[in-house]
Amino acid sequence: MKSIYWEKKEFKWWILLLCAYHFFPFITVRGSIIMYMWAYVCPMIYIIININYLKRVFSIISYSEILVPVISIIMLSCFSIIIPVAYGTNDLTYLTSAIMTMIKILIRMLFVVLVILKHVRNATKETYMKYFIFSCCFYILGTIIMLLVPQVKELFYNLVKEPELSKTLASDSRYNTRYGWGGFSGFEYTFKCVIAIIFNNYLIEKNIKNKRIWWMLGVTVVLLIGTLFYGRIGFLVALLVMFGLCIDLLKKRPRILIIAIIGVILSGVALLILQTRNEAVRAWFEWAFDLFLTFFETGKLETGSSNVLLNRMLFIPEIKTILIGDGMYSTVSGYYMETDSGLMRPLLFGGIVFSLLRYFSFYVLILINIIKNKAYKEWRGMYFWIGITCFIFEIKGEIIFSCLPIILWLGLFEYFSKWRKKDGTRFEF
Amino acid sequence: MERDLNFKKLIKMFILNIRLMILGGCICAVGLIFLSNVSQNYTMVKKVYLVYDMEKPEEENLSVRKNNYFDAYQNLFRSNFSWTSNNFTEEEKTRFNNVSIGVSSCMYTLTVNLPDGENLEKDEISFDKLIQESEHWMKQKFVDESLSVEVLSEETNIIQSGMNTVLKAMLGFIVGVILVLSVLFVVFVLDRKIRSSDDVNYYLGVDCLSVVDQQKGIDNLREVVLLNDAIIWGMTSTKQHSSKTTITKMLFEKLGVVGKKVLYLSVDPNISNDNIRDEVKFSNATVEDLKDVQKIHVDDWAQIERLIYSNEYEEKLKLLKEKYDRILVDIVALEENSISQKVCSLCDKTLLIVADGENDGEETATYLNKLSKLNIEVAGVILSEINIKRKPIRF
Repeated sequence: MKSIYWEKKEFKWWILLLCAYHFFPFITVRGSIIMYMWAYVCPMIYIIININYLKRVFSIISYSEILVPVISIIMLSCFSIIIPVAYGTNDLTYLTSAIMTMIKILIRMLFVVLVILKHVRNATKETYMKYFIFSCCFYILGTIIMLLVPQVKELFYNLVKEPELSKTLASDSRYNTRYGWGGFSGFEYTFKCVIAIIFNNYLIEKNIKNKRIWWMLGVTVVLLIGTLFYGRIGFLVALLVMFGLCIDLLKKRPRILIIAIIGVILSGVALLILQTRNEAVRAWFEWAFDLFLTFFETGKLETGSSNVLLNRMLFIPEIKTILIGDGMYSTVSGYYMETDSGLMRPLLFGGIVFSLLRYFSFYVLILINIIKNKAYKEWRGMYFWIGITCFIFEIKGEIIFSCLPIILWLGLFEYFSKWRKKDGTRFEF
Repeated sequence: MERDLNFKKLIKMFILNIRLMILGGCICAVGLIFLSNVSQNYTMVKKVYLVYDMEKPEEENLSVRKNNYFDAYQNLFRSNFSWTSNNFTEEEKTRFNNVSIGVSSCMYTLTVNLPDGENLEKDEISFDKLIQESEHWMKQKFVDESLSVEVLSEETNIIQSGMNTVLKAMLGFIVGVILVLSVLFVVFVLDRKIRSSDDVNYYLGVDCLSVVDQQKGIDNLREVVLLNDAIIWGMTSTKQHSSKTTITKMLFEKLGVVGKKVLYLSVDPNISNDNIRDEVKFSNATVEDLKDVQKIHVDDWAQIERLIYSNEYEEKLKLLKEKYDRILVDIVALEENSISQKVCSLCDKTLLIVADGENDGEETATYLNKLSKLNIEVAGVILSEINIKRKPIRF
């Protein structure tokens, strides 16, 4: 059935559920081995079974811009071994936590991509983006259900395997909304919601003349709610991203923009009223809109979190550290030099060159896609906003290696489409 | 470009360059051992056991107050309090500016990475002094009357960071090999030269008629020439030094062996008449003398152009066609002079010779397109493996 989002036979429930799990994975406390097998072993087996497909994936990677980030990641992996051994710190946690985690996500994302390509006729990059958007919406729906039915949250709280710190944070009343089937949902989850908004904006701009664009805007609202649930920085960045869309709506669909703004104002008023009558809503409201409330009260744009970030997390280390790093990523007590800022941790570990290589591995892909697609304004805009989003998020925490697996495989769809046209047939396995 | 990665060729390249990989691995291993020996690190860990004396029995608030105390203690170290104290020397301030603190239950773990182990006893004394100073500061600055803290005992561990040499060497070797493999892979992927019949097919869109080296391949070419009705065969290449003349001579000899009357015609001012006659050898040739090896002798390009564009050359070719079974025209390279295109146009068929590893695929395809637009009939491409140059990276 065709809709504003989905082409005929493009949407399949089981693919959505599979994508939702792999984009927002969880491992259970009991039967964790089975869950690990489901999360990692099954995708690898599936990839290996489709060996012809895998060969073509290698070919695409080899002869496209995707090779650049792949080679950069290999070099980063090598340096993440050389640096701690050379410095004598033996801190291999950068390799074992940052890089290996990213590689595991890359493999799972590749599995998702292969499933879509194999089971969705004429799948394009938009298909992948749609599944991502709807997986995020599904996750947000899960959070809403947990808010409305606390027993469900209780069930997942006992079911999902996560660190003690996450469990402690999840039981804080201020963070009532920061929970989903994946456990405590914070920084990375709000980031994914923002990426989903960017993808959705791209689809809106492509279909801006369509009468049923309301549905797409509705999805944006759901995703915005997600950012308010999981992380305030996501909401701020989402507002910035939405500003870009508003300019386009103002030019092409001003009526919709006006109606949307009126809707936002009315929702804001409703929320203000609701938070005065409900304790739980108030606790969340004060947390979610802390920045704005502080601004109205004191005239300063700050929160406790932003103060910690600016005063403690961001600092200028010694020259020697800036140049060649300290070879330390983690200590027994947590983060090295007690900073978890994405700008600082790689710099403290490997120095400026290591840090720049890390950014190069991501931004070169963004840049190439912006330059390559001069004729496609929406596509360029999408990559531009992804670049800006990652830059802002990096100030707070490391996000590059979470974003790279999502956008790396977008290029695959493009090349598979070209190959399909060249072969003249649907790609067969 | 949509093309499949040739895994067999890739693996073959890796195998051919195995010495390079081993060299890279060894250099990396040696470098890593050298660097790690230069920077020997020591980690000093102190565990400070604390006891909390509460005046009021408010056990439910204990964890909150402990956390507050810990946060304050951590902030103290973050603010580098020792820098404002007169009790520390500059050297001590520098050596102990990266103290990190962990807490569990009633114990703090203070960890510092020291750049060297020259005087560990002195460092331990300095570390103790730092902790005492921090406790003194806490008593003055952090006021919580319900909570008092005493140090019960301390433990010190000094760990010499670093792994044993063998492990370092192994890691370094593996990393070195991976880096070299990555470089080889990038070189392989970026390589646009024609190196195999698959590459000929991919870049030029035509079949490779034969792969010719010193021992084999020329028989295939001979069959192509014999089975085709064309009399005048142009032998050209895109670049100089593609073994064009060598292949033409080999073909000339092979055709002669099977009793064909063949004329070798050279339109290449770089080759002298005597050179050709000296080099062309006959085994069972029916040709009695070397009059079948003819060179259009000219002094300069202008003269050759006048000759080729004149009717005289075309007339002569018509006469020669009646006299010979096959005429092989050794033509100068396409990049050298555009006269080669004219000569090719006067041939019945043209064979394009491509030297293995010397010709860029896309550039060669451009030349081929040009020939096709000039209605020059290219029968096929010959891959020459006669003079393969040795390079650092082998394919």
